[in-house]
Amino acid sequence: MPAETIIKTNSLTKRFDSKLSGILAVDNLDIEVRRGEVFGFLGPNASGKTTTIGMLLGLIAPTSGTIELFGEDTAHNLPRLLKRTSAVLESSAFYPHLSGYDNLIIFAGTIGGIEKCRIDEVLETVGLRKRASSKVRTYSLGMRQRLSVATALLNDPELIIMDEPANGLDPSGIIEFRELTKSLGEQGKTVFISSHLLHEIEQTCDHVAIINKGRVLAQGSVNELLHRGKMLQISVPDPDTASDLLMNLDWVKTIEIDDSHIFVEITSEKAAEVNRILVTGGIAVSEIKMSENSLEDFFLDAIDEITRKPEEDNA
Amino acid sequence: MLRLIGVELFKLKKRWLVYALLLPLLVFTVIPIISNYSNYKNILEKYPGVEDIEITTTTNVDQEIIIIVDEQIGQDNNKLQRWAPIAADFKAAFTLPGSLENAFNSIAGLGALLIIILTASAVGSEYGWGTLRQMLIKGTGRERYLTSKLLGILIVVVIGILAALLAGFITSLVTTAIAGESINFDFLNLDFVGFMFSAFGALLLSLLVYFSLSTLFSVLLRSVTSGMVIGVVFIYADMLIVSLLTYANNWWANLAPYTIGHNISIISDLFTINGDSESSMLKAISILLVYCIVFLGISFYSFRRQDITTG
Repeated sequence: MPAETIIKTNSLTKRFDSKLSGILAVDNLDIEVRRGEVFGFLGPNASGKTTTIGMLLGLIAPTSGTIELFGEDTAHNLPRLLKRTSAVLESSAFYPHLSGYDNLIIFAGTIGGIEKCRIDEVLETVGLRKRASSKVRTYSLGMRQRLSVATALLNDPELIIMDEPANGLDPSGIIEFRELTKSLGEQGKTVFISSHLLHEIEQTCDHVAIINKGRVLAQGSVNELLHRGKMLQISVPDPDTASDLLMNLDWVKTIEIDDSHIFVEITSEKAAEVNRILVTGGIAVSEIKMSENSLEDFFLDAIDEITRKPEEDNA
Repeated sequence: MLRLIGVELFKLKKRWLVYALLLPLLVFTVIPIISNYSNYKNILEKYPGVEDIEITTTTNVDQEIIIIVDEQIGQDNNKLQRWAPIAADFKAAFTLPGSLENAFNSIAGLGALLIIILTASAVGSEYGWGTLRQMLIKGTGRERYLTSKLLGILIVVVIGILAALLAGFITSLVTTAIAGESINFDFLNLDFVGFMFSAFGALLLSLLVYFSLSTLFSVLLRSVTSGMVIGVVFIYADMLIVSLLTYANNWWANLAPYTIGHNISIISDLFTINGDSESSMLKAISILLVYCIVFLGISFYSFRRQDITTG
C-alpha cells in the first residue's frame, strides 16, 4: 500500500497581474509528495519555487488549481492543516529588536500549546542555546537560518517546507543543515526542500521534482531520474562504424557519438553483449564503462529541452 | 484568541516605541495642569486677595454674566474684578474635577497623532520585517491574526489613556496641595461617574477613527510609512476641509456635518462636565462608527485577499 499523500497539487497556476501584463509564475503544476519523503523541489532562480511554496502555505492565492495537504483541500481547512506543518522560509524573518528566545516565545505563543522547555530543546537542537538571549539583529545569516529551523521544529510538525534553506550558509553550515534535514527524514517527517543547488538536492533528497518557468519538467525518485540517463561509454577508433553496428539492435534505446566515443543507452547487463558484437564486427574496443549521469546532467538536459522547444516551435 | 492577543501584547511590551509614545502623552497631559497652577500662582502673587473674591455665575438667555460680590474690595477693585474670574478659571483647571476635563482634551489632541504612529508601526512593521509570513504560516488564520493585533493595540491604547488620566489626577492633587487649597472629593457622585464614562467613550471613539484609518493604509500599502504619513496628513487635511466646507456657500456646505473632524468636535463636548449634550450627538457618534466600520471592513477584506509575497 503506497504511503499517504501529504502534498498534492492539481493544475496549480498563479498569474501575477501587473499593469502592463500578467506574469505566469506557476503553470499547471502537478506534484505529489508522500509521507516520509525528503522531496527536493529543484529549479533555477525565478522558476516559480517560492511562489509554489507561498501557495502551499496559504500566503499566495492560486489563480486556478487546487492544493491538498494531508489529503484535504487547503481552500477550506488551511489553518487546521498548517498546524501540522512548519516552514523555513527564504530570507528568514524575525523581530530584530528581540532576542532569539523572545522570537521563539512569540511563535510558540502563536502556535499554542508549546511548553517553554520545548523552546530550550529546539534551541539546543540547532545549537543556538548560548546565543538565545542575544538580539536577533546581532545574528549572522547562518544563525538566523538556524533560528528559522528552530521555529519550524517548535510544533513537532509532520511536514516541513524549506525554501532555499542553504542560502547564505557557509560550507560547514551547509553540511550541518544537510545532516539536520536527513535526520528529520529519518524521524519519519516529510520534508519539502526547494533549492537551485543541484548538489544539495542530490545529496539530501530521495525524491525530486524539477521545475522551470513554473512547469514541472520531471518528477520521481532521485535514483530513477539518475538511472534514466544511464549510458554505456565505449572508446573505439571508428565511432561511426560502431554506431552503425549497434543502432539496429532492439534493446539499444539511443546512441550518441563523440570524437572517439559512442554513448549507448542500455541496461548494464547488456555491456558484455555490446562488447562481443563490436569485436565480432572487427572494431577494437579500447575501453568500455557505464557512465552515470548526475542529477545536474539531467537537470541541465531538462532545462535545455524546454528552452529549445519554443525556439523549435517558432521555427 | 486570548492567546493571540497575549502574543501581540508581548510584542508591544518589548517595543521601545510604545514607551516613547507614552511619554509625550503623559507630559502633554500633565503640563497644562501645571501650567494652569503656575498661572494661578502668578495672579495670586500679583494681586493678593484675588482668591477671596466670591464669584457667582448666573446666566440669562444670551450670555453668561459674572457678578462679583464683595463689598470690602479696596481701591484696586477694578483690577481685582477683572482678574478674579481668570484666576478662578485657572484654579478650576488644575484642581479636581476640572483638571480631568483638561486631561481628556489633552489626550484627545495628541492622542490622534500618537495612535496613528502606534497603529501604523505595529501593523506595517510586520510587512517590513518579514515577520508577517512567519506569523501567518502558523495556522492562526488571517482574520484572527489581524483581529488579535488590533485588539492588542487597543488594549495598549486604553492602558495609555488610563495612565495619562492617572498622571493628570496625581498632578492635580499635588498642585492643589502646593497651592494650599483643600482637597475634597465632593464631586465624586453618580453624575461624575457618568461623565467619566461618557468622556472616556467619546475619547476612545475619536481615537478609534484614526486607528481604523491608520490600519487601513498600513494594510493596503503594506508599510509603516504609508500608514503614518497618510494618517497624519489626513488629520490636518480634514481640519482644512471642515473649515472650507463650513464656509462654503453652495451645496458643499451640506457635506461638512459628515466629515470626521466635524463629528469629533461634536463628541468632544462630552469631555466637559455638564457640557452641552447636543441633539446631534447621537448622529455624530453614528457617523464616526460608520467611518470605523468602513475603514476596518476594507482593511480586513484587503488583508484576507492579499498575496503575501514579501513580509
